[in-house]
Amino acid sequence: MTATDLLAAALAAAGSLFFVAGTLGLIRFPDVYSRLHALTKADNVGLGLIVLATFLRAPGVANGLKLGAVWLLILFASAVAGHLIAREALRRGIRPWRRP
Amino acid sequence: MTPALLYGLSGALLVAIGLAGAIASRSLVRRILGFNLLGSGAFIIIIAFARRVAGPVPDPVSHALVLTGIVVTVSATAVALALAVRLHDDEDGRDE
Amino acid sequence: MNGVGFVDMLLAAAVPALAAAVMLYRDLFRATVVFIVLGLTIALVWVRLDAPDIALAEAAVGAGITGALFMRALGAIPGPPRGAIAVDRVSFPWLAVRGAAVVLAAVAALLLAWAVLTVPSSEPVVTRLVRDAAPESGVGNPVTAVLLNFRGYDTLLEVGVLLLAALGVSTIGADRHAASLGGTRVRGPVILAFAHFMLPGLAVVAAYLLWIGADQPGGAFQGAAVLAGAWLLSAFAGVAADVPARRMPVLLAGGFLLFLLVAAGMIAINGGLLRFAPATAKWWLLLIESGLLISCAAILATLVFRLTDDERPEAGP
Repeated sequence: MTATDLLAAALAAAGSLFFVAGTLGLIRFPDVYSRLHALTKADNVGLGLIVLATFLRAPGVANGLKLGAVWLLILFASAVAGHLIAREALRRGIRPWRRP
Repeated sequence: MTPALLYGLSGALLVAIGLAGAIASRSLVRRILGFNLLGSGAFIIIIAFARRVAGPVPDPVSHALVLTGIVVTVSATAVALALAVRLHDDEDGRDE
Repeated sequence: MNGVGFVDMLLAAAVPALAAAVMLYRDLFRATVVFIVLGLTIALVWVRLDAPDIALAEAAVGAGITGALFMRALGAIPGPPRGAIAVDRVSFPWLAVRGAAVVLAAVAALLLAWAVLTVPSSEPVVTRLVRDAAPESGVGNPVTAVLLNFRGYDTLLEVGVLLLAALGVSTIGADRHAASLGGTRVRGPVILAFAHFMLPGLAVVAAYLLWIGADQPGGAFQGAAVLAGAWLLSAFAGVAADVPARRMPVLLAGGFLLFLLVAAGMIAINGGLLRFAPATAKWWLLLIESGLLISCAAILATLVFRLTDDERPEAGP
């Protein structure tokens, strides 16, 4: 295992950690807005780390551009989807959770 | 145990779950979901076979079969769902 | 293909687990979400089984289009009134049906597992025939060669089935007076900007998948699914890309008719239905696939749009 492999493994593990955190938030947070928060933020950072790890394993300009494009597109899509869901929830009258 | 064998067994389990669900579910939509699962499981078994017996390149005829199967499945699912929506106009709801 | 890795064990365990979740979740909306996740997991299984063409199709059609169909259907089915207690109809005939279903499923699983474990390791004759004839097919991707050249007749009928499904859904489903590609419009600047940003890229990706399918994983169906997704996005966002109602039948049936014409034309040129000469096969296949790209995209978009009328306001998760 070279240093690159170790670094890639560490990045992938860190990315997975973010995904776990996001999933935990999805399960445990009290309302749809905070769950969206967990999903879009944590999952995208996790994805970015995993993309970095993958790039280390398959280097090259073409691969790098493709992987970067994948990450950016998912960023856009999840941002738009999060916005739409939150707006629909607001329209239906779901109020943000307040500490009781 | 090769990966193909492992996935083949997984596919067999998927067929079982889809079959049981398609028969034993009360709501139409869930039955349609079950049929989709049944189809996907069958496809996995076919491709597991293709991977098991071939050499460097897996059997392309099986691949073409499954590709066709996926397209036909989505066609059938669409018609089934359209029918289900029409039938639900006076049924008692979508939960099981 | 090397030995079983951790990823393989994870995927092989996840697939039945997700399937069980699909069948067991009370709320159909959640079951559908898990179904979409299952579709994407199965796409990963395809990748591990050296089937990248199928992985593309599964992700786009199996998870994407099918998921959209289910979501749309669920939006149109009114749920039970809030607070209603589900009547638990536990009757003997129903328990018997459930028991029989489980037994039948267990028997099926055992038989299939036995088949998987005892499949012979020798190469089927047809695989060797395809491999020997592949250089004459005009394309480098063996799956595309089989789909369009060696088994082109099957693909022709498959497009016919798609067309029939579009007709069926249009007849059963939506209000006949609706616009040619109606659907719930999601108003707002964010999705409009997103659509404006994505649509050119999606069209290029679809065309690229078509073109690259000749020699690498890809093909007309995968491109058509991407194009259908772009179509749906444009309709939902309100981007003015609507097709006049008079022109839709041309788009829907055009691919099939073109395929039929080329197939019949081959009788005149080469003496047999769908018989291609090795030298010119590539261009005929490209012609057929281009028609299929547009038509299948139109059909898939129609399947989603015409599934039902606009959603009733009281429905929802």
